Amino acid sequence: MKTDNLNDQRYLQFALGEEQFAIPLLSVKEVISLPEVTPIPKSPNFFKGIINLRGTVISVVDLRTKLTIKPKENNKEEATIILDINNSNLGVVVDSIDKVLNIAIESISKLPEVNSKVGNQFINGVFQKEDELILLIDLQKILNDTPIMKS
Amino acid sequence: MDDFEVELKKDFLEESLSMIDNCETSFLALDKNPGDSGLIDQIFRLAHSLKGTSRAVGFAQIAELTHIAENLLLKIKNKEIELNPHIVSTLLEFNDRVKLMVETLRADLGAEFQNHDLIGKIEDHINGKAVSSASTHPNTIAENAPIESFEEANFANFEQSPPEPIMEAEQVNSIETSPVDQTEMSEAALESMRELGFSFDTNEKKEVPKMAPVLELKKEVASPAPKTEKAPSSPAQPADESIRVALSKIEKLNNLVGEFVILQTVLEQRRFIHIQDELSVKSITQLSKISKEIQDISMSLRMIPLKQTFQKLSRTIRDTALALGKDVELTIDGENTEIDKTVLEKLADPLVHIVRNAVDHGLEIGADRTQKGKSPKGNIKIAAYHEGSNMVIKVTDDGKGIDPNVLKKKAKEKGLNVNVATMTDAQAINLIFHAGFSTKEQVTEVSGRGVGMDVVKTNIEIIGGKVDVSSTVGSGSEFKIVLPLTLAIIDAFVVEAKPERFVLPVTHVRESLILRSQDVKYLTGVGNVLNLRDEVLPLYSLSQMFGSQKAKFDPGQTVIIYHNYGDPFAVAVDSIIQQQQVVIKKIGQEIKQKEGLMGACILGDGRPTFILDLIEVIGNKIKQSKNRTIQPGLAA
Repeated sequence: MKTDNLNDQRYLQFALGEEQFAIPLLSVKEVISLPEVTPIPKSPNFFKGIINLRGTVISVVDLRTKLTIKPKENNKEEATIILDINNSNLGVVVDSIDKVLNIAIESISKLPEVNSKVGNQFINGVFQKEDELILLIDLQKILNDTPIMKS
Repeated sequence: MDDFEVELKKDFLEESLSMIDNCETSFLALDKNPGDSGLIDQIFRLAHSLKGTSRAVGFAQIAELTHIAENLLLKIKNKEIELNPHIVSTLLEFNDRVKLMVETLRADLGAEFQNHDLIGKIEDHINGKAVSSASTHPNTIAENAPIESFEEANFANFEQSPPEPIMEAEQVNSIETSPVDQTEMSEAALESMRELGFSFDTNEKKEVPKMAPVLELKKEVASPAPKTEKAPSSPAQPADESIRVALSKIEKLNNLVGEFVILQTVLEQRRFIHIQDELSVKSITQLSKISKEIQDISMSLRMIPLKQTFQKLSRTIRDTALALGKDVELTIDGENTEIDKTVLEKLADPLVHIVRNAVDHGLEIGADRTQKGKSPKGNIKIAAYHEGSNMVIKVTDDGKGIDPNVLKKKAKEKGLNVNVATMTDAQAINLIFHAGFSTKEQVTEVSGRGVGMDVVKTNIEIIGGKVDVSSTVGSGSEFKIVLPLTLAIIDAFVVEAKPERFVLPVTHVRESLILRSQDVKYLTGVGNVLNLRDEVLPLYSLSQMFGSQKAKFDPGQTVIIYHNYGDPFAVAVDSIIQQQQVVIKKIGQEIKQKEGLMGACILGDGRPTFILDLIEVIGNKIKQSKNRTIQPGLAA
């Protein structure tokens, strides 16, 4: 049993299309299956809408649409991750949730050129696990990227 | 320190804050009414009690400082010393220092303080010694402490311009001051005034001469006739039955009440149709009545009157005016208007800043005012009132006003990303809120620690409010802050604009009616209009504006008429499903920016639905296009 190293950080691994991604576990509040969504008037198409989560209204974004990744067909594993970004909640829809990773900081590498749908500026690092390449992405940057709504 | 001791100390710190606030109110009242012995007695009692309790729980330094202040107060009480604005200033300083100590101790029970300077000052007053106002007390005092170095600059001014009486001074004792080099300070202040586009005479750019005999001041100041101010007499001790409650408990309660309202609405809707037995129907009806009362009371728990904040503003004005040698008359209207505590906390700083600006940059000095035919006393009016579902706070001054042309020029010079050419004057005046305008490098003592108007605007927007300024050059300016009354459980229409539903607050609605085809016309250049009896109103389609459909005006639809404060308009929806109360839920910043989305709510079936503010989207546009400008100025 490996002892927990203070330099290890926990990440949540999930899939978008064929690629694997991970985000810091601390920013994840919960994972749910998407309830009924009310669309947001005149909003960009990656905004799915708002949902009622136990009495709180939360906006939900489809990460696959935002990154133009084709969602898996007939996907029963589709899930929504509720994140805490800047003290406000946001939901992101992903194709599947895989596992929680315990990553040592040393094992995170910076690959200069990665052929991914995600632009390089959003990738904080890369983690190699067996034969899987997992991209550690910065969700906040991705969401801030396009001006969300213009009045 | 054992737990019990810690408890004692913490309790004292909690309790003492309200005592200190009471003290400040009394000091300010005393300033206006120095002869009021009732006030002096009350202050003496407060100080005495503060001294005793602080000593008992082991805060020796607070006790020591209060003890000296108590001695001064005793002398004043026994009429051995006569009150003057400088003594009051020192007493206010004492008040600030105690407050600072209490707040520091709350964070760190072991904190120690250095009060020699203040103690020295108070002792000087006691011994009747002339007080040197060039003290070097550290700038850690709360923002609204009198700015010593500014006092210097303006005593110098007295040489060249007829001295203005300091706020409500009945007497002025001879004051010894020592020359201090503060040309830099004046420059910075002048510079920030220029930045804000105020024109001013070069008169004000003075060299600071060697200290002229300020004793001249004494003979030139005519003893002002005792003003019959509406000074408050000693505030009666309220027989107050109140209890301290943790804010978190109230928040929990409010959340639960919100859920309760939703569930009760569901029951209400099922009554008569799905639920038919008499007892159930009766109970649900009773429940609705009680629920309304619960809502009202629970909402009111967090509401506190603006009075407290207005008092702070009154203090700010006094201190700023004193520091600048200006004479200011403050009128307050609506101090009993209530507002949510958390909103109030965030509102306090922006208000202080706006008010300071009004005194510092807005109002001219007495001489300039009389020259323009204005009263030598500058007027500032602070008013608060409820308007629809909003709280409005206005700060109006009758000073120089803001010159849109100067601002436009400034904007160009600074290379700001705004289109100066197409800007109206009203828009140009609001440039002061532009980030590019705030001169963050300048830390002028009076107008805040480099806090610009853009920060003020941001802070107001964070609490969901809006701020606007209007002005007429030469006459004055008016800052208007509009805040949503939070804890919103509002009456609203649930409407259908197929396939979506939306919620429209009832507040601004005048009437609703069923649309007939003959009522709708299309006028080229104007758009769709509605013929309503003898009115012709602009007509909008909700489906088109917020839904996913094209505009449609079909017979059988419902049209909702908004009064829009005199510029009515009409909105067509498919139908009004029902009228009910809804709990406003906040929506994230990312969608809040979109015009018209004032929040969301959860309807009886659990679906989240948007609440639309059509006044914001349509109403204001109509008003703007009709070129209504708001005239500032103080209503008589």
